[in-house]
Amino acid sequence: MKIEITGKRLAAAGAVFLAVVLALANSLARGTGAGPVNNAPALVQTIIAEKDHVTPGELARWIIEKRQDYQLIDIRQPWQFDDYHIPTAINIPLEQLFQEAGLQQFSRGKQIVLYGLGAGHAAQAQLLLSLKGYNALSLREGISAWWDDVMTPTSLRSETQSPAGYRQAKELREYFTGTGKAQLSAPASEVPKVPPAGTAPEGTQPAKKLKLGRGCS
Amino acid sequence: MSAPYFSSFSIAVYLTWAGVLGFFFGFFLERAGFSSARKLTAQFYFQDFAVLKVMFTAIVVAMLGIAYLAFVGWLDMSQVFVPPTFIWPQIVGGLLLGAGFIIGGYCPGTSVAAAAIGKLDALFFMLGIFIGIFLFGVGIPHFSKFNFSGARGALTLPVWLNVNTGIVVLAIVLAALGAFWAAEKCEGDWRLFARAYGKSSEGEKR
Repeated sequence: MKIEITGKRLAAAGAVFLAVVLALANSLARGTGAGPVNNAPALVQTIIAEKDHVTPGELARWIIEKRQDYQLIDIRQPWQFDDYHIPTAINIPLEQLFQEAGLQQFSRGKQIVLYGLGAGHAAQAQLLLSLKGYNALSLREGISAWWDDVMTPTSLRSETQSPAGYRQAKELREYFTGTGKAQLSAPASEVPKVPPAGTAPEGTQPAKKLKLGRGCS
Repeated sequence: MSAPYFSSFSIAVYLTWAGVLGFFFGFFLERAGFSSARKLTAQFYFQDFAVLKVMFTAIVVAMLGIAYLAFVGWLDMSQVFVPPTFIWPQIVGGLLLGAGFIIGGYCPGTSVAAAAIGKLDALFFMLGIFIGIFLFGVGIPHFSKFNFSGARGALTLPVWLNVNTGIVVLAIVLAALGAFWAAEKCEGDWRLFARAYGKSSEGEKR
């Protein structure tokens, strides 16, 4: 059967082509700010399901696994960022986040993970980005929790841990302190919970304890 | 670089644009034949689907344009006004509008276009619109509960169906093409029927 090419058919084919391209492009590049507007009810469900944030432990695993599907953004001031930041993070201070220059730094199609000093600003920025259609998460309790949960020597932690949990925590910490550049910046952190001087000697203790732990189990 | 355009210009610029866009909207409504009550109502008798075709084409063109502008980042969709949904009053209002369309022969926009080319019935239709608006304003305290029932906020199809905008756009384009095909088939059947029984919509006009 021969199909006659008329203006109408051409227009119809053009419209379908454009729509198919758009559907494919939208599916590939989720979270580009082009998504649905006013998705507040869906966001509330995300918050209730606690899917609006990652914990420091999860983020640490992502970094170790070298996952490429997210982008870590430090929303603190540049001097705080220079002092210490979570490896792989880039710095976009909160006041620049919603300006043209800030928004342009987001990688298309990647999940955005925001963190600040504590929970507040990053969670608020995460909500604003989500309302704009971005696929955003915040780091639970910010860089303070990162310091407490990942960087603090396992022996200094108040919570009691199973031998397996202890090993895991030590593993994480060693990854982020063991590499040269992380170690350099770690003692200079503005989070005062761990005195910089105490970091080095206590760093040796967990190794001993771990040995004991292994022996017992 | 992005919406809302109306806050980036002065009110004078905004009103000028409203005038220019309104002029062309009316001009093309008239050119599409939508200043004729007979042509408009013919679609309700399945004789002439020009209204459906013109309006659905406009929707598809505007939708593709907006979706692409938003996708490349030239249009910030979060700044575009989406009228809030009130399910029950909108269903009743839609039925009233449809019934009024069939009886009066116009919808609000086309009545203005027809009045502009001097159609007397359109002038009366417009008068009715203003009386209706006045009665609504006076009566709103008595049915404000109904008027705001079924509130769903500024709900859009992608949010409601939880799929991305592109999928919704594709579905609407396909629905439009399906509607065009069915409309043309219907029109063809009517022409066959009219030829067989010696009737035609043209004949009725005289």
